[in-house]
Amino acid sequence: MTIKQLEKIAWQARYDLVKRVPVGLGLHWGGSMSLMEILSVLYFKFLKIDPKNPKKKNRDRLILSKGHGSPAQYAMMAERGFFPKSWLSRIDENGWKLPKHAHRLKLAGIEASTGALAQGLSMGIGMALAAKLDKAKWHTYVIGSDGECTEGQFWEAALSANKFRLDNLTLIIDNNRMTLDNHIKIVMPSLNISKMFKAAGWQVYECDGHNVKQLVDRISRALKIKNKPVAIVANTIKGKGISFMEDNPSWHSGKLTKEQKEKALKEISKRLKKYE
Amino acid sequence: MSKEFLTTPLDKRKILPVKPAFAEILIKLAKKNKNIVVLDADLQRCSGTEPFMKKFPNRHFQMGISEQNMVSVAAGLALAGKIPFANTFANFLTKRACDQVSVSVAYNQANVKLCGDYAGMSTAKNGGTHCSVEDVAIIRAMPHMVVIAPADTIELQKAVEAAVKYKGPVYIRKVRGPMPQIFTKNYRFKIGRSVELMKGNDITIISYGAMTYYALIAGEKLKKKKIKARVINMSTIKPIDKKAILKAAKETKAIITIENHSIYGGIGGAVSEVVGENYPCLVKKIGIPDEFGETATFEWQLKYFDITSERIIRIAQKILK
Ligand SMILES: Cc1ncc(C[n+]2csc(CCOP(=O)(O)OP(=O)(O)O)c2C)c(N)n1
Ligand SMILES: [Mg+2]
Repeated sequence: MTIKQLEKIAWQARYDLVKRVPVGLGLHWGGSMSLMEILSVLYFKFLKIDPKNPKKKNRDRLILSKGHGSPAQYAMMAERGFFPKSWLSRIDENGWKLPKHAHRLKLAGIEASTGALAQGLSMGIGMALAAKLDKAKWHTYVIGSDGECTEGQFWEAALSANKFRLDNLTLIIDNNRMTLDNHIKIVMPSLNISKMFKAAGWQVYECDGHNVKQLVDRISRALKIKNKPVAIVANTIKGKGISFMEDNPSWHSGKLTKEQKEKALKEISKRLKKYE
Repeated sequence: MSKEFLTTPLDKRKILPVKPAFAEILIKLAKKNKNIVVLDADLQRCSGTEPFMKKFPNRHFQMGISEQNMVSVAAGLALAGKIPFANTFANFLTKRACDQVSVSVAYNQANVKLCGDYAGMSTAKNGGTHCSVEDVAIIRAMPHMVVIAPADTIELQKAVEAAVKYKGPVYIRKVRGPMPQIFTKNYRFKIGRSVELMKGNDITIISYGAMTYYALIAGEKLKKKKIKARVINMSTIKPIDKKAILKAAKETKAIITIENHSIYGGIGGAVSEVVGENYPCLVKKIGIPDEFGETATFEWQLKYFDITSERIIRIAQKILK
């Protein structure tokens, strides 16, 4: 996969999600849009997985710890061929396979059910420990968020991952600098994710989380680090790609009107055109 | 004596939003009582405390997504003389911060008012990770905790007022709403006092929170079938109104409980404990079975788990046959 292709997939997934989700359905748009490049790079470049055999032995594991980003993951899984894109129009249907927060017992390919923030890194540590015990080569990726870094459990996890020298674990933080109520600089101004992970003994890389080239570079480097876990702080824009959502706390979650949907699709199509 | 609750047709009731009612009473009380402070854990958009924050910016603490810290900080505030209202989703308040509620708040008997939002299935499409199926059971089992789950926004306001007067930890269980009106402004809320909303001696229905409305619907429909149901709103789940329960056990054929919560440890459990020790009678429990919540609307889940007025009617008819 070339950088251009990975970029295009991210925009395509944004397009598919906005296009297929029915008008008026409340979703976590902001935190889904910020994730797309991270997900395209993982699903199309790094994750050793088989969409036709989601439970395959020795597959890599991905945990979306910020479970409310599931719509983005669904869009990317559809791109990767886990299920037809038409399923995206049924996200959040009563009792169906694609709930707002993904559930491993509802959809093959979801490794851990999340939705209550800040548990995914710990579950990832458990998986990475199991792989070490089994002398297995598969890798565990966890996607977390800046908001999760304000939870105590995240730092309990950070300390233990270093203690166990988990070089088979990579954490990517979708650092959109915003939580539900507001900008992180208002909600928790003292948060300094890179410094805190460094202090906990992690290898830390930073990058622009919408720059595919940088993401590929950082993850490639992370996979070569021995004896410690790696955190990649990917600086992103909440609501990326949709002008009225970008960096706007009101779009943490919300419902698109017909007009807003059209505007969003127009803006995303423009980006997609560049790759034709 | 003026009427405490409405008797107008159930389908004609006003349906009122929860958030403004909560903010309104907090602000009203805080004007008189400068010790009242409010904490949020990055869910202010759901607790509805923004008007309070605007009015009293230095008496509001945005704690971020740190429920455990928020609850213990609230305890510290209380131990230093404040009356903190700590808000987040019921599920995170009672489970993520469970030990903090137990030790910092209950064990210390700190004067903290814990307000759990979007309780039970009312969290709707947020799904199983957000649906508190067992919060009442957990908090009820904690020593010294008072547990209140209001049936409408008027009862919510009265409960908040009572919680401020009461010295000690209180858990107020709120639903997302909006909620149909049950009570009038004349309602005299008292912690531990249940209210008989409908009189009857055939069978008793006991409920709280969002399910009281459904209990009333069942009561109305049973009336048409010549079954007189006593409908009791038992919004204080702890300390429970033993007198009302035992009276119902003695005077009616059986008790049916209905709740937006697990059948384990909620009002069904609480009622069974009371009658079991004092006056054994049949208690039929309607609630969430041994399951987590679904990603689905409140109404969809009620049908899915069969937590319905129809179920009450079926059970009542079977018992009274
Ligand atoms: C333990 C817990 N507390 C609160 C919430 C409610 N909640 C859902 S998303 C969110 C804000 C998330 O911000 P962040 O984690 O930074 O995600 P993003 O900005 O990527 O959407 C909150 C508070 C939750 N899901 N889990
Ligand atoms: Mg964020």
